Amino acid sequence: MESHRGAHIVFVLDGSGSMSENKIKMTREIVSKIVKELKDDRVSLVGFGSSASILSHPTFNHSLILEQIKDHGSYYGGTDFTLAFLRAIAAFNSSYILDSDDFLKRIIIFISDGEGTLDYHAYIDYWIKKLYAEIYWININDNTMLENSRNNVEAILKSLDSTKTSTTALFLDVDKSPIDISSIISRINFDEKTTLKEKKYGVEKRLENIFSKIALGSLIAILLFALIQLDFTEKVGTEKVGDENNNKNF
Amino acid sequence: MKITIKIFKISIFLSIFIAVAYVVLWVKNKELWNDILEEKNYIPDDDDIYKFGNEARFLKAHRLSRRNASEAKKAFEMVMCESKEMKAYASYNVANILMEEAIKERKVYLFEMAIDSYKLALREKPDFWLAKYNLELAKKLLQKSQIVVPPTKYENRGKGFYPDVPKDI
Repeated sequence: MESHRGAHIVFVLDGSGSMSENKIKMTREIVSKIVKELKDDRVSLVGFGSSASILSHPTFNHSLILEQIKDHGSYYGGTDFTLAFLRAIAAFNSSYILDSDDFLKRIIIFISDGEGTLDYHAYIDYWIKKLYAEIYWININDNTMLENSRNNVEAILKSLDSTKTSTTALFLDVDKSPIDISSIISRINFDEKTTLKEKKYGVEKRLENIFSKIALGSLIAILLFALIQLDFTEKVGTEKVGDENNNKNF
Repeated sequence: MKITIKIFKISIFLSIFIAVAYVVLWVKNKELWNDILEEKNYIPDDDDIYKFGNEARFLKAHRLSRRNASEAKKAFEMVMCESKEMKAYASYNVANILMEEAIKERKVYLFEMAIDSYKLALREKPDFWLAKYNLELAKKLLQKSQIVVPPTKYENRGKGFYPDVPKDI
């Protein structure tokens, strides 16, 4: 079976009412530029506002993603980071991706203007840890609002314990052009980290399988041994009793 | 040898005792779960979720959907994270909440999000006929709304702006 190398990347795109046309345009540009740089990575798109929805299911077909990103727009409604994170986690947890096959590194790329709230920190933190997911937060906002949203994003990331080591946040000014996409890609640094993580996943999963098989095997062996032991002891016991009786008769 | 037989007998006795205790606890848990199901206004708490797992999580989300839609959506999203098996049902329920919101608030994007969620449910469970039916209904409502709205308003579609659904659908 052909094994895919690379990462599973979920782009989580803010489509709330606060996302102006410029911000949406910038979001699309960032996603397309990153996707064009990818090789063997599985990509999915999640859009969110007051609700979250999967714009594109996990796929290795990057041209499909480039087509789908054109449909991303701004919805009316508030910004709920909780739903966005939960839907991103659910995107990793698809029944079309077998656990045994999924050795890919998991990456969440969050593109937002940073104006929103996050609940259920502990629960989201638990899943980020469990999935070994890394978060890259690209915050885009106007020059005047950038500082406020930076504080908000930093507070959110601080509240997630697991993101202390695995998060990279980048703050971009919408009015600045062109976007320095190379700096984003170098921060994400797909190739290097993917190989390391992939090896780790591979070893962990295989060890898990081996240990579970050994445990099951040893359990069966103990049970069999106990049964054999019982038969043997009973036989010996009856023989002895028989001998004693014979002796008495003589 | 007698000692080994004794140890074996004790271990068999202990395992029977553990099995009986387990069955008794299992029956008691089932009774408790039935009580929770019968109590229509009760929303399962964290202890129930710890005891009964994803079924309790799903029940909590389902009961919240009648009271607090935004909390219910979060609860269903959690079910989606936890269980691949229940992902289709959770997604279907999220879509239903979105449909209700779409009809109530008359927003096109809510119809579109509901359609996406129905599609997700069908992707996970292709023979889910309720989702299929509701998907067709949502598509029809969306189509109807698009006929009523003048096409000029859709110039911005895909550029970031979605019009509201008119009140006469």
